[in-house]
Amino acid sequence: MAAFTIGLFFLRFWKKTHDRFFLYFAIAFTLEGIVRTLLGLDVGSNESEPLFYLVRLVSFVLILIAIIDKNRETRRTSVK
Amino acid sequence: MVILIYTLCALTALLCAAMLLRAYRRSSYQLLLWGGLCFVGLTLHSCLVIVDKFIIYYIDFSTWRLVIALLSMMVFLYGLIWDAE
Amino acid sequence: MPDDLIPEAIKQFLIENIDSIAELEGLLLLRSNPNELWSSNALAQRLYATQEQIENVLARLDTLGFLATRGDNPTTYFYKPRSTGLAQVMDQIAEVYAKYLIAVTNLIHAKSETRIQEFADAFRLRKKDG
Repeated sequence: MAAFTIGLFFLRFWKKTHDRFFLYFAIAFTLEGIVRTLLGLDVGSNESEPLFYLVRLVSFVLILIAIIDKNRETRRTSVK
Repeated sequence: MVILIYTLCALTALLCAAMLLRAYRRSSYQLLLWGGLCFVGLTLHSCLVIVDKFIIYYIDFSTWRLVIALLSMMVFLYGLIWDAE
Repeated sequence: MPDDLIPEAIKQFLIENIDSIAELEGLLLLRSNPNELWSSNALAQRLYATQEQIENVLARLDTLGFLATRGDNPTTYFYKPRSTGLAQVMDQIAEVYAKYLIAVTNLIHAKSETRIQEFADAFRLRKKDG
């Protein structure tokens, strides 16, 4: 639930600044929230099951993409 | 496979933590501190998953993992509510 | 909705590189007079800003590659984009700013109203101010 709320904050920041960096983070944290919720609901499951770690992989890859995207934009003005 | 993925998670979280804390040292923006600490916690969490599942079998780290993940989120949430401006 | 008026690439460029309206106005002013040399004092008077503000603005724009300098005391600036790509982007920005003044000012104001942009900026490997 905390992860969802954090996701919502990032969504708000994206709306405010239009910087898609925050959108990536919003989705990443929302995905993490989904993982956590599913883990909480299904007592038998654990974090080393494919569904969970694959979704987690996606959310961390999104964060990496956000960071790369942010740094590519910097280069856009200085290299070209 | 799982180890690989959680290693990636740990490294990404560590990168985020490093960048946020480095920026915090330069500016006074509190949110950077809370965000940095959150990602430190997420790094620890990912490492604990690996340790728990693959290295140390006789201790169950489930509760630790849960607590660390929860604390990390809480710290960040606190920062977002009070210090995000 | 006003935000849809600005092309996405221009929007991201503005968010990444322009911190204030004064900066944009200053940049466009220098761009429209490319053969003129401007000192921070002269530009500050023209834009009704403080010299200190304008000094920072000009130094930053120089670092980002929009301007070039000449002389040392006082340092004067003129418009000289580091690459043709940058010059093209500036042409587009000038056009967009002329057409959609309100949308552009809203965009830049929204950015400077909060500090949250600093969170995103923390993830730059190279510091924005060089």
